[in-house]
Amino acid sequence: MSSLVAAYSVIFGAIFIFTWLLFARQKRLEKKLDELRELVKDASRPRP
Amino acid sequence: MTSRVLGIASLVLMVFALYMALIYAPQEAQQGTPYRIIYFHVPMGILSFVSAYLLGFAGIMFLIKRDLKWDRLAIGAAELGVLCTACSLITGSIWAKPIWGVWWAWDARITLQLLLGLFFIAYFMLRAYLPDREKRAKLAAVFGVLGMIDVPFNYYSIEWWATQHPQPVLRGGGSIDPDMRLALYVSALALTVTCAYLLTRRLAIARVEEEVEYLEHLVHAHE
Repeated sequence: MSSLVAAYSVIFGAIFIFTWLLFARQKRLEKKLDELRELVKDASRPRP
Repeated sequence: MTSRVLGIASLVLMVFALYMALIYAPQEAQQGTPYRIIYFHVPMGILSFVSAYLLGFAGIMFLIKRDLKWDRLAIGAAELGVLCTACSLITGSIWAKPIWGVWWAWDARITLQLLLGLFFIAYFMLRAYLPDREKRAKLAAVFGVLGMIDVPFNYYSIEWWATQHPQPVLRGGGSIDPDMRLALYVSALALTVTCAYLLTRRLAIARVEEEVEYLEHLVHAHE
């Protein structure tokens, strides 16, 4: 019984961690993308 | 939209697969409870082969078309490959301890599966050492194609060589109870849909990564 619980925990734990890492990476990248878009917008504005 | 549908479908199928594996499928006379590990171990092994072929296919398509979308698919396939290979090896090891009395045996199937896992890791190491985007995609594509070589040897290893690993349960003479077979198909479907969902999420992230890389390049060029 304990081996079954251990094996299923590995499978579902691994899928959960993989999914969580994907969402965390997406959130981080979207934040960075917004920052970079702001920087590009500022840089493309005509300077006085 | 596709991603959302796949996400919901994978959740529903996973619950159903757990019911089939833990309640619906009959008990195995010799092994007892640990045999139920196969309902997720076998599909994970098959999906690791699918990942290797997907990686190789994406590599070939990139070499022909030179379109970076194939490189993005290759990255997603390789990441899933790491996940599926690791899960199949670890759950196999957990199953082996009560059945064989050992955690690990250096037989052909298990060693080739370990090699497949190391191949996926080597793929990411190769990518990490190549800073140029185009060159990285080209060399990674060539390397990715090589991974497909492991799969047929791995798949037929239990027939070609004397191994400790059990013989195939799904092909070769109906050696499995129909209810067990159905439970195995359901869990395989659930894990396939889950992997498809994870792949669509990963592809979306890869597109954002490229946009970030492009904008960073633009900002640095402006400074």
